[in-house]
Amino acid sequence: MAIRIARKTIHLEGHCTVEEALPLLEALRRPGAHKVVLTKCQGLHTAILQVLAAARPATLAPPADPALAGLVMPFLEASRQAALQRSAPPASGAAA
Amino acid sequence: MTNPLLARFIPEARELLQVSASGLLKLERNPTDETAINEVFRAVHTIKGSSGLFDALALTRLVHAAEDLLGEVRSDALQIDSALVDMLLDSLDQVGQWIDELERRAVLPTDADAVAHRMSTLLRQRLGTPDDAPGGEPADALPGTDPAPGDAAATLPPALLARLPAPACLDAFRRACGGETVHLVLYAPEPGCFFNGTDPLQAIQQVPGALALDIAADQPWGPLEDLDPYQCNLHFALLSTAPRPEIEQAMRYELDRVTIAPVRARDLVRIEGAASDGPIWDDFRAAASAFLDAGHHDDLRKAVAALRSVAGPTLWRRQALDWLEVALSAGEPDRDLVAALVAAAGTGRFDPAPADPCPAGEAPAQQPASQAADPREDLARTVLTSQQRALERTGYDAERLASVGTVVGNVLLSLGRDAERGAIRAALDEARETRSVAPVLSALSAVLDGAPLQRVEAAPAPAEALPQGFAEDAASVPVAGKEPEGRLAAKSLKVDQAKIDLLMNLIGELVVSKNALPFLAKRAEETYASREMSREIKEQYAVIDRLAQEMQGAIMQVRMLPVAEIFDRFPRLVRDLARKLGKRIDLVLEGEDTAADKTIIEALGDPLLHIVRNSLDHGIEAPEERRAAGKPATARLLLKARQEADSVVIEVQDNGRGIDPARIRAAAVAKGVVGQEEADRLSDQEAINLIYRPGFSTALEVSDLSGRGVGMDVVLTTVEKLGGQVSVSSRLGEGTTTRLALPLSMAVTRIMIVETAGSLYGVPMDMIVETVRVPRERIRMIKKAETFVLRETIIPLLRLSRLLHLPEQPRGEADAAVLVCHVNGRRVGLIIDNFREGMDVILKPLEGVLAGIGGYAGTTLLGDGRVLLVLDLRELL
Repeated sequence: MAIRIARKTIHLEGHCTVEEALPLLEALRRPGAHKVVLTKCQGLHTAILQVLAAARPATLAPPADPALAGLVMPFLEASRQAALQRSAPPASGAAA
Repeated sequence: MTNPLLARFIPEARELLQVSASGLLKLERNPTDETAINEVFRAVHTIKGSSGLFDALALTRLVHAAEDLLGEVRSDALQIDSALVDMLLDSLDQVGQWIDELERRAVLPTDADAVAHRMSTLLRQRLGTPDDAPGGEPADALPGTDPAPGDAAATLPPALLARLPAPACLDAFRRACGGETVHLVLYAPEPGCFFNGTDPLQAIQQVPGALALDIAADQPWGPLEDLDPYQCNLHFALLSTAPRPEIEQAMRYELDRVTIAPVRARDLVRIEGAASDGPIWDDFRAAASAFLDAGHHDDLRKAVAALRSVAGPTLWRRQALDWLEVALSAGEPDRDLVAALVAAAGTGRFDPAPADPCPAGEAPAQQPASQAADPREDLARTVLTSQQRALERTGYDAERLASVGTVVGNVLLSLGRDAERGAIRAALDEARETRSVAPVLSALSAVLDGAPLQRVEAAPAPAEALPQGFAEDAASVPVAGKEPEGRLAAKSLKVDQAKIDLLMNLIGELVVSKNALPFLAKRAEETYASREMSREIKEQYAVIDRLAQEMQGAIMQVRMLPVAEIFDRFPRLVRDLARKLGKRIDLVLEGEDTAADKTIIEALGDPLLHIVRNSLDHGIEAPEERRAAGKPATARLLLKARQEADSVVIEVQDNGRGIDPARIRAAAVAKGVVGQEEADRLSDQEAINLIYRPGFSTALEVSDLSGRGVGMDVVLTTVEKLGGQVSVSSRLGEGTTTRLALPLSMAVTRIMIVETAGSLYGVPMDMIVETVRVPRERIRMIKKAETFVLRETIIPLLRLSRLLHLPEQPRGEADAAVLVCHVNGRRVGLIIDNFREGMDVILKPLEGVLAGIGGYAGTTLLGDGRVLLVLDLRELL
């Protein structure tokens, strides 16, 4: 399993496939502040990415792989900022 | 061919090309034919989709261009005309050639890319010309939205540019200025795409030359409890320096969800830094503007370099200079862009949209124009008004209210007006609670009275982006009057012909083994003296016989093809030839459903082609000549097929000038086909038949249509080889009819078994006219030839044993068994030893070393296992 849950901390490691989206979502649905650690993550399926974007975990540790971090972190940060600002659509929602 | 997918694609693509070609011809006759355009569009779309699976990018590109053009035609943005049809047909022909090439070598020819580029550029020139962006190719339309001609140059999402590191941004700008095209790839994956194994994030990462990627949510995220992790709610924007084909190649599985558009250089400009001021900037601006106006780029470059060396690198204006320098480094600097950057450095403000006829940065400016032309607007208004009236009339009715709600919801959905849709839904809820239609009525009139019903362009695919329930409603109610896209999968099976042939052979063997049962019955009776047993065997035989015959019939049906298979190519052919010859021809096809065996249908193509070409070239006159003769200027060419007993009859009938027997005679003598004397002796009909002689041609010179003197000869030999007949009838000045009669099926041949010189031989039944027993004394010798008189006609006699070089065994019978046959248009009597029974056989041609032996049509097996040789009398005599 590429998903490892230790209490409020969710570790996503290796290549996370579409199958991991549901367990991840269920973990994030539990009440409380979650921490998601992507440090050892090497690849994300789009489904995982959108769960992370929608759930906006309180803390998000970026992937160690700079390429992957550059790919997903701007989007995830933008989603979290949008949540913090409590503005209805995420900032980048109007793009395209 | 090793690739099974390719093996399936090739016949399918050919079929689709045929469909598109005939659809285009229909469209040419009737440009408003919606069924035809939908059919063509669908076919071309399918080819494009499937071709993406193979290494045939050029093919995909060309088909894509054609599809875009057809999309425009379909949405009534473009009028179809003959020139356009010509272009499309040429493109399809090219695709057809490539498909042949793919079949032979599994790769496209090396020049395919160039050809595809040239042809697709031609095609795209016909696309919305005034909106053509400076970048060149207009963007592809997403399915579900109307191909709006306005979005040619891409609008950059601001987030995307911000994501781009400054050096990368400058680099992209340098490339764009240097004539390279930077593409914006917008990718809106299908919501359900996870289920078919697509990972959009991974897909977009495959695009080469990526500069920056922006990911955004399609719809705002709702509460986490309602999130469906398997519905893709993301879309992607990517900036890439790769050429368009490479992007298409990378995204080939998702091409229909992707928009690729060139980005203009000025949209890439991003200047950051601290503001600064000073007279030096104003001086620079004045000097630079002067240089620019005078066209002194070198001086401008020097001025820029000088100022750059003194200004602090963090200043905004200094950065503007960096951009300016890059813009100037191009061989042919874009004057507007340079001017804008000079102004930026001078004023400290960059105005990305200078006076330009097509400001790409401000796409919304084009919106009103496209909306005003949107026919849905009126349609939607009509629909909404009628719903409003219906509600007023009926008052509160829960069911009706629900249906009105669905209709209105869908109309608004199709217009992309989500806000109003929400309002209507709220009104509906309220109406249900209060049991009154008033809230809905007022909401409706608010919608109708409000701003024009515009299509908001924000969401790329609104239908998919909506909650499942509403999307389903939308699918079930065709809102904008367009027919649903999906085509039901045809309940047919594509089977390799070899498999059917194998089945056919097996059944043939079954028939043969079945024929052994009567022998067995005979043996049971004669050898074992068991009459009972013999009877039972015969009963069983009757059952097996019936089943075998039914099976044979069923397999025959499988092999049957409609004549349409060959007729379908004629509309195109006749149209092209008629245009070339300057003749006006109305082609009428009749009885396309008539079916015949595949071999027959396939072999008929060439003969029919020759006949039709002959008709067009020689038979049908030019319009003026026709008018002078008192005939309508448009000639009529009728291709008619029908079934007559056991044969299929195909007639080619024209109302042209007819065949002049005198001219045929003269031409035949001139070409040395017949002597003068013989020609004079011929009746008119016989003279007409001369056109079937090899080497005959009336044409004065060889054209690329006909005149080589092979045409009709080919027709005759092909048709006769298939066991058919050809006849021509013609009336001078009124037209010509050519009639081909062919057996429905070649698989089973009826033969008669004859005995000669102690061996058995088969003679095809269709050659036998009758069987007679001739008393010896009635055989007369004329010179050295034996003859006899049958119903006042002299019939020459031949001995089969002599023809086959077999030793003759004189038999002391009083009369000779004579098989009267019809061979090469003449009757001949064959003296044989004895007649035997007739039977249905499956003829196997002679193969291998035996193939060269003449005189035999093939072999078959007898019930007792013996091989029977079947004679080919035409070759033998």
